[in-house]
Amino acid sequence: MIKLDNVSKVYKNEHAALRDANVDIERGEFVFLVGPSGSGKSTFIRLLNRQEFATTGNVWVAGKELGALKNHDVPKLRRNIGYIFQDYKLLPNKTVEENVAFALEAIGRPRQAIRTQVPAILELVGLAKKAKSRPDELSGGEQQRVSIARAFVNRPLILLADEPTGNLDPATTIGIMKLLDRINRTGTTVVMATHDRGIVDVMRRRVIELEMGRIVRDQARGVYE
Amino acid sequence: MAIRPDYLVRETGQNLIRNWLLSTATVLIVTVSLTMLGITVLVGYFGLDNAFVRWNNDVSFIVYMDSTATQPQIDAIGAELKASKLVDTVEYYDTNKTWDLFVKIFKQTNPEMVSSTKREDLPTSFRVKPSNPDASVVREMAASYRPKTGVYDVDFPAEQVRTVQRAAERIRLWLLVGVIALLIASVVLIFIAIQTAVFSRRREIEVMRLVGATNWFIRIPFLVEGVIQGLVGGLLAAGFTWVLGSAWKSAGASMKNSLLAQFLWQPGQALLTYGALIAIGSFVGAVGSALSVSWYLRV
Repeated sequence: MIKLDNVSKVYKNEHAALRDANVDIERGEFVFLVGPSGSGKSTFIRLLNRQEFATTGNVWVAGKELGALKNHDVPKLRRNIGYIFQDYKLLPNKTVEENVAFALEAIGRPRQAIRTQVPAILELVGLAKKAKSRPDELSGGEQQRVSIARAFVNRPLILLADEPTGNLDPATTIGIMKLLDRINRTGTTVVMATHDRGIVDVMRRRVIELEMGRIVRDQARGVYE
Repeated sequence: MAIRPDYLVRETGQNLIRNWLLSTATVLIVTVSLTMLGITVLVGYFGLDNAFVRWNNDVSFIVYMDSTATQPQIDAIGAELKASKLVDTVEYYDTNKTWDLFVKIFKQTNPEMVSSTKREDLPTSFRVKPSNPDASVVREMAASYRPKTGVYDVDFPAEQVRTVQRAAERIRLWLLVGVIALLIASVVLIFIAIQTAVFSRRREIEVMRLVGATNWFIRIPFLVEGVIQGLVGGLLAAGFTWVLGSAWKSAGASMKNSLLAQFLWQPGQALLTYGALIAIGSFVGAVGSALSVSWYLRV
């Protein structure tokens, strides 16, 4: 599903965010990316949905080599990849259901499909009763659930999450992780960057540890360190 | 990927409402520049051309005889004019007729000149209407009478017409320069308005990009926003041009003898101008917003 082949990413200031990364992630895996700030976790994730280009090496996602992907094919790729932000990035002037529907509208889904898919995903994330609420009326955990609903409403093959629990308390974090685990069990590949030692140790999934842009550990059913 | 009309209307409407101040400023500058263009076209082009056609059709020249010219010399010029195939009508203004005309013109405005002028001081003249109204033919024919014996001067009104035309051409050239500058300002303002709209919606745009919206899906509401600003500016300009044009015609009707009162246009020409203003407004909006989205919305 995801393959990084000798991938390096060097930014214009000559800072190497990722060096010679070689990774294979199979369909349906749940992978934690761990490491200190600046270790290259976010760059790793941004390379997977072509927000960034690899400086050297090849990135393969869902059978496509992203360096060779034409610009007009990038939207098609991204429809197969859900993206969860640390700061949720909900649209404050839209209700919960409008925020989720917006992701479907933006890819031109018909109204009828939106009418059926949005309530179903809100039911899945446990926010059916808050469909008409605005983001500022929700707790942090609820906002992150909306963000997850928006990322998953189109049933992508891959879910990328960049520190999704970074702004949440431990109790809320558990709820979010249960939700991501549930999504993973549907066959969706989840790649999650995190600093949260507790959840990594509890969930015991594959852990890829980065340090100064290098992969220093790739361990199945690993712990934080 | 088709864009749903209700989505397009909602997103474009929200953009316009959020940036209402900048949108209003943009519409106003488009309106001002296109109104200037509309008036320039109506008065400076259609009006002047119509007036010039009218003057050309009525073109004539006057052969003034010298006060010392003998009667045979006067008769010879009169006979030559009457015999010419290029002359349609010729009318001789003898001393009495010239005096009557002189008194009629200056009695009210300059009675001192009337009282100080003697009847025999005024030159007699031939008023000639050529059969061919072409100004260059008339000018050539009029000039051919200047050197003839007994002729004091030949007055060719088309020369004044040409002077007016040259002045009007200079004025409309400067007006056009001003209009072009304002239209460029309109494009820049629309560019900035769209840039501001893109900035204020950067979070939505980021989400749209990451969920897989195409470039055009993201861009179209902004393009439509620019076109609407230009279109509204064009519609308002057409309205103002109609109002100002009507005022010009009313003013012209109340001063029939004024030269400017003859700068009139046909209803069809006015409709053409209004349509062109609306089309140019939309085009300016499309160019400004297209430049802005291609610059700021590279996905």
